[in-house]
Amino acid sequence: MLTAIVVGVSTTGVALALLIRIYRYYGTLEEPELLQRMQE
Amino acid sequence: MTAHAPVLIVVIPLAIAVLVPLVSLRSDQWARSLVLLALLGAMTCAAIALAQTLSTGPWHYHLGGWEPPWGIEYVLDPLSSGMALLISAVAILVAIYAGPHLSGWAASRSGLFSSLFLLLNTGLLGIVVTGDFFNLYVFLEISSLAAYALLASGTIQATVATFRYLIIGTIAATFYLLGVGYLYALTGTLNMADVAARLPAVADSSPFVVAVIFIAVGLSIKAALFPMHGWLPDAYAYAPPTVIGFISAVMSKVSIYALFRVLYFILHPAEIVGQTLTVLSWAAAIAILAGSLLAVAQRDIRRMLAYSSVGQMGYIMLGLALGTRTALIGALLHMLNHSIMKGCLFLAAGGIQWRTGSCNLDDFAGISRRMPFTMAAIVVAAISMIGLPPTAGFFSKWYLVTGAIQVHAWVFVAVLIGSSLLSAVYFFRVVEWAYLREPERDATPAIERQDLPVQMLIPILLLATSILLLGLFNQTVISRVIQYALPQEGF
Repeated sequence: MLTAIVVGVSTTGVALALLIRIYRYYGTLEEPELLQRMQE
Repeated sequence: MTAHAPVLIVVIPLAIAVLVPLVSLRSDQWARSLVLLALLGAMTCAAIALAQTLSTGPWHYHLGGWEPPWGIEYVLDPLSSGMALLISAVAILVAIYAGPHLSGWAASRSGLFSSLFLLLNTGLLGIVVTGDFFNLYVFLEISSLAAYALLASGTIQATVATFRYLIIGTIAATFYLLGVGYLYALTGTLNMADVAARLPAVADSSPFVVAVIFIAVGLSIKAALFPMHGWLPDAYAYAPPTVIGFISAVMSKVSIYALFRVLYFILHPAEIVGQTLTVLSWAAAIAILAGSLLAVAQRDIRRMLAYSSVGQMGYIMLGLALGTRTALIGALLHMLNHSIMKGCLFLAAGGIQWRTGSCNLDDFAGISRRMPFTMAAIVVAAISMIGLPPTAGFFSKWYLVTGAIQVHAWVFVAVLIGSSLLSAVYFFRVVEWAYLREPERDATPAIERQDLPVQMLIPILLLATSILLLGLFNQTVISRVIQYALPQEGF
């Protein structure tokens, strides 16, 4: 139980770190906009 | 020391993973030797364990001296110690290969990279050796978290692809956890052997059906079985080549190993398991066809290899789902072979990308003269992927097809053979571009012969050689190891 919470928190941490990296590069987190900018 | 070999398989990489970032601040060279030493230590322990279990039977190790149903137990049988040996051996080769790739990086960054790589190994080795359902979940998440961080260390596209993988991977792990939760509610234990012993009383209840389906779905997503493979191609195509060489070679195999362990060794007598296996066999057949067809459509070599992986995971899953002795031997042999072949292909393709900056088929024209050894390794691995004798791939496909014929599953026989033809299409196209097409004179200036540095070349060539050796000595591998790795009762 406790372990699953710890795992959940660390997964969220990694996910947020990835989101910050994506946001810094593309300046957005809106999915359609993001996909459009990735196409360019 | 040897009495503690089962736990040392996991503890050595874990402990060194903490040390490596600190050491790398002082000396990069030391850090890299430390990584190699840690993996070598894990491999030695796995080899000791394999030799021991082959002579005296399964080896149960109780962590901290607590007796099994309460404490965590590590169980090493020929299957798990064989997998541990495979994982650590591939890891050593990849760690050597990573040298030139990391040399341009800042010390702190390359130290963290090595540390994550060791953590990924810890997780995978842990999944393989553990005999406890919840411990398996923890190791599954350790390996996944390390893999997310490693995959995201590539380009910005890799980060986006990894984010998608993270969401899907977390859902998969949650499915597994929920399944384990149901099992715990039913049996009151998390120890795998104990669950197996208490199974007959609960095997007909509907929560048990839910548990089996949740565990099977969770682990199939991790293994990228066809309808759940969406995360794989992007993640494989953009990630750093070193990482992907390792992840494609062993990580998805470990999920299939876990599924095999749960369905065949623990929950096997239950009726629902048989039905789950039937569903998995059809999913696997579709995976084989879809993976091969999508691979034919790709121009980017790494994306092509990624889709081919989807197909090949289908091969392994189909063998497991058919469940006859021959099919299971084929599945396990293909697990071993595919690790080596795909590892070799991804490392070589990554090397070409590292040297030329492109992995597009159009830029492969004339590459055979520029990088002859790397291309030779690709050709050997490609022949093995298609399944031509005397390479390793032929023999595992032979067992799989024979297994399918034994149960008169003619559709699956057709699928297996048809997909081999499709893989011939996409691999011979690579060979054609590399060996027969002339590069356009004006587009590329002077092409001089310049193969990869020795550090990168040796792992690739070693893998290519072992493809041939595995093909020639497949009988020995089966009679010495694989036949003992099968579930013993009822086969």
